[in-house]
Amino acid sequence: MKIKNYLCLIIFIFALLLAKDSFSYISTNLESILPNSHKKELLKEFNQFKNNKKLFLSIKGFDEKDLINIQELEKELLKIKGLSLAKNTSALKLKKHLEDYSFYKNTINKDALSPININKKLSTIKEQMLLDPFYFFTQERDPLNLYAVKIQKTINIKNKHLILENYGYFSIFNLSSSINTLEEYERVYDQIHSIIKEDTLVFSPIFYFVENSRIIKEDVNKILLFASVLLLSLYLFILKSPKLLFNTFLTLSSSILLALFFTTELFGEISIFVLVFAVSISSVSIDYMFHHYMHDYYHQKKKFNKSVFLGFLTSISAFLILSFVDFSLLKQICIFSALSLFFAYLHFAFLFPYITFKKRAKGLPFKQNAQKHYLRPSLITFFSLLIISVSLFNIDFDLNIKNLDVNNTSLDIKRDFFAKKLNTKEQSPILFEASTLNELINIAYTLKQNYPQAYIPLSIVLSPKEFIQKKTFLKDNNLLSLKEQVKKEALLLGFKEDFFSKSYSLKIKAPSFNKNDINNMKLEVRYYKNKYYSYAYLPSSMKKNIPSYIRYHELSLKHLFMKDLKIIYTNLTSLGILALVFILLMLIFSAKKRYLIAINYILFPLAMCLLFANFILFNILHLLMLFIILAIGIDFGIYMSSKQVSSSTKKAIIYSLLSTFCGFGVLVFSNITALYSLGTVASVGIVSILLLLLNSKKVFNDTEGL
Amino acid sequence: MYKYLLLFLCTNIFSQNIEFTQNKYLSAFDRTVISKGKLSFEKNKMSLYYENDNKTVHLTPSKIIISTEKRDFIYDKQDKIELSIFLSLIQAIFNDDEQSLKKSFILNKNSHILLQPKEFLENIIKKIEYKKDGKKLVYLNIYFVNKNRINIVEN
Repeated sequence: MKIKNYLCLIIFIFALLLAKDSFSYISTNLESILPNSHKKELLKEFNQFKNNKKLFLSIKGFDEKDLINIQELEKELLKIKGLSLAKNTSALKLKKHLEDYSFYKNTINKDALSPININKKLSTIKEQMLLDPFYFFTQERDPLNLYAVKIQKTINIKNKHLILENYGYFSIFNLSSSINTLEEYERVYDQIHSIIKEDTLVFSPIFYFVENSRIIKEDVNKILLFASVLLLSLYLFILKSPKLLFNTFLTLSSSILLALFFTTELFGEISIFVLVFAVSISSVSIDYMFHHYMHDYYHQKKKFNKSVFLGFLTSISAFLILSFVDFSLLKQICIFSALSLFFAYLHFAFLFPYITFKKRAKGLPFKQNAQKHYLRPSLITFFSLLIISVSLFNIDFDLNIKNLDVNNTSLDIKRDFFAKKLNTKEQSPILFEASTLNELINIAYTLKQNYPQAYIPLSIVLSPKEFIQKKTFLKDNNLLSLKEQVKKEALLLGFKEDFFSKSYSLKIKAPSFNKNDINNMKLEVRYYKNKYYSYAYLPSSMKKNIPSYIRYHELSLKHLFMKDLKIIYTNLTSLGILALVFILLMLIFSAKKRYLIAINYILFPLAMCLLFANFILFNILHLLMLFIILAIGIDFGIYMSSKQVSSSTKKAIIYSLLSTFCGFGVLVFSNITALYSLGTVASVGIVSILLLLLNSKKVFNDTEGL
Repeated sequence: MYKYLLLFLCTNIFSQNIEFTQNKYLSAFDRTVISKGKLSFEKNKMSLYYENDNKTVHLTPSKIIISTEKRDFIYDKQDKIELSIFLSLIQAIFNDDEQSLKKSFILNKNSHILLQPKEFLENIIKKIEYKKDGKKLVYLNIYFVNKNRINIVEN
């Protein structure tokens, strides 16, 4: 046995060893495909807030058995590492701050101010304390009942347990901040779901990471299996040579593994969608083998195949040009594809002729110099240009990046249920920023003043701004000396001197916060790139009224990346046009006089894809695939415009098209918008190229030989 | 006639009455106020009554009812939160309902039971100690943060 017969296997084993760790860098998280920007980093910061580490649990009904059920569930869930029941506890330093500034922080009931009869109030307290046996708790912090009672309407209690109104018992759990990897999320998710019963409603924002990841994995496995079986069957049918098939399989696998290794080295983390694309792109790289093999380059000693090289050079250049787009997913796909094509080409163009494979598939060895077509190429060019010019201005671009993610409706229903019951359904998060912590706390206060119903965790502390305003208010209402007056009257009535010492304390110094307070007070603040960030849940309708001096970011994926996406569309279109110009130049160089035949392989698929785009919401992946199809289409243009178009050429093209259609076409069976989008444009493009090919009379006449 | 007799018998068979003495130490005046009271437990209802006071307070699963000679005042538990806490505590101790107690307190069992408050209760109550002999309450001491104390002994 000659060593050359094992070269592909050796390279495959080497690639496998090299890329074995790369699989751990494949991510199913939407974050990995988002455009790289400051906003993406902000989104990551927001996900670290405690608010996103909550778990809601509810059991329908208010019967005793329902209460017992939820209590038993709580007990079981608390055994899970990292899960604890949410409590109304504050850090010691925050407690002290709130106690020190309670006179400023508590809302003063204005009705209680006019006029305040301290003597009468304290006398009543004394009478109740001494004579009313039911008087157990003395309000020594607010003996004059000045503070307005805040009633939390969203959460109610029944039988000393939280309830959701008109539904049932309810529990809130906190997830430890140490739980922040997908593996940890999956552990917690699986443990929770092994405990809860079917009639229990449970939701946590982290469930999206787990469920979406599993949906994507399941979908990807389905597509990968389907595509692999389809392609292998097709190749076996076409090639009729197990040895060649085996070596081709090893080559494609090695190309994917090597591309995976280098891409993960470059990006650190890549999207799982890239892996699916890898199988699809391998159906393009196999074209290089088809063309060499069908022209018997692997058996007869022939010169270098220029057409295949030009096709490869054009495709890889187009991918490299498109890789300059500032969108991780697109960049990853382009770099991965270029690398994969590169390694596959090296194998098929240089290694396979060295190994030698005898051609078994039949071909009709005749040459044809004149191209004959059912429809004149110039007519196709004209109609293609017409369709392009009409369609180009009717495309509706999709600017919501969330549409590329998994549509997890079952989890959305649970999220909306809790949001509705907790009165937060109409609210969405914003992230506000400031250069100093004091400034940030002032913003939280301003927002809370404007929208008292909003959920703004940072507004719990007294802001320097609120301190000044409250002090003025206290001064205007002659309350600055209230503590002294209470003390004096209390003494006269026989109270101990220090009994009301905690009431109406007036701190003279305004509160001031520094970076250490974030941890000491456990504030919902993140410090990132010299800025402080916190969040607020505001009613969507009120966001337009936010004062202009407040710097904030809407945190819905749609709003966060809408502007970025617009820029990316422009960016990708410019790069696509640049790639197109390059492709056209390559065509002129390679096709020369048969230029018009070749150019149709770009214009016609482009026209068909743009026409298709008129009927759908055109997303960024449609656009990417459109340019990829052009980069693939050009290969066929170059081969078909070659001086020596034989039936072997056409056969190779038909086979190539069939394999490309299988490779990319299977993506239409995906339930994930990102993959489905790639599949639809690819299918339209490939069918268009096939139609062009069928327009060539000789192809029709030679189909017997296929 | 028999129906009323049967109802009367059932009400008395299924209800439990406890008489107690309450010593309330008021730190503000350095004085102790002594009251005698009566607790009665019926299904889904606990009632508290003090001698020399004209009202009875009833605790039901969702409401607090204050009955006077003239009329009844019905409140949601949230509206009488302090009274609700106190009555629920008494109810849980008399019924040996540790599950309810554990929600708001950390339980330590020695020669007596020590309850240390959790969450917001720790701003009001310092600690609670109680001892029971079978069903009978030997003593219950509630220590408040403001240095007040309540001592209850079953008669």
